[in-house]
Amino acid sequence: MDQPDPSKAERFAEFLRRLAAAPPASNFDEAYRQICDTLNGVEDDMTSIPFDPPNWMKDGRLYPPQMDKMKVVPGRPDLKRFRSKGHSTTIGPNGAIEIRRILDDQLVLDKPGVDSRGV
Amino acid sequence: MNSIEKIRDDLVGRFPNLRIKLDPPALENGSWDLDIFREGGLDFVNVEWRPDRGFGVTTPGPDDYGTGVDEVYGSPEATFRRVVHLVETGESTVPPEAVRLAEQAGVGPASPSRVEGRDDLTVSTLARVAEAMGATLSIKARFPDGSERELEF
Repeated sequence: MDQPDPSKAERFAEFLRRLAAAPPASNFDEAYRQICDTLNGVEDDMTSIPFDPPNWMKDGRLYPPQMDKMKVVPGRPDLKRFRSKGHSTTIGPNGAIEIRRILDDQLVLDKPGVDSRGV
Repeated sequence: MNSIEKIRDDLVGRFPNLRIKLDPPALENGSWDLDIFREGGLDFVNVEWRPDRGFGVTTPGPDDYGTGVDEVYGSPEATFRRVVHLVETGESTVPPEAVRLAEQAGVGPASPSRVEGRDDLTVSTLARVAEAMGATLSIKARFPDGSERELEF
């Protein structure tokens, strides 16, 4: 009998672990691509759910942030923030990445950019 | 004022003590998010609105990164009623993947909302729905004096 896929909690933790361990990105495009590639890699490695963006509403797979989910960061036009249901992912022009929980604003990832600075 | 701003204002009027935050899009055709923070350590209620797709309602857990919305509503009125119910009862929304698992468990109806809408349900059906969601079924009787007793089957 096939083993069930790991839980979302386990996959999200692995995503954070891999993203934190990846080399620092040097700009927005590189950081955004790193987020997408890392999350897609985790889901490909740890689940049996195929990458099928049209089915993203109901397949249970974790999908990377999309451009239509970009939000304003008041007073910081240099930052790009992406909203998912429970988190905000902010990327700086230096490639830094920050992920916070919406519920309590808790920082769950603080990855410096190529200049060793955060967002 | 657009539809989700109206929902925000109505919710602020209904629940003046709750923290309610609107998160507008950066791009013209992007999605709006409305977050309603419930009391008692419960997950918050998120409403995502895109004019071309309607309203998504979800009570996100701490690991819901990059998943879709749980429930979809076509009108601001239905969305408002659902959010009010979630705030007042402390209930959670049910993700579609749980619906898929429920179907695989042989429950039959494809949607928990349709299950909830039925006139009559057997305990075994409810137990299978709960099991498919990774939960166990518990039924309690509440008496006029406020006491509760769990029913065993």
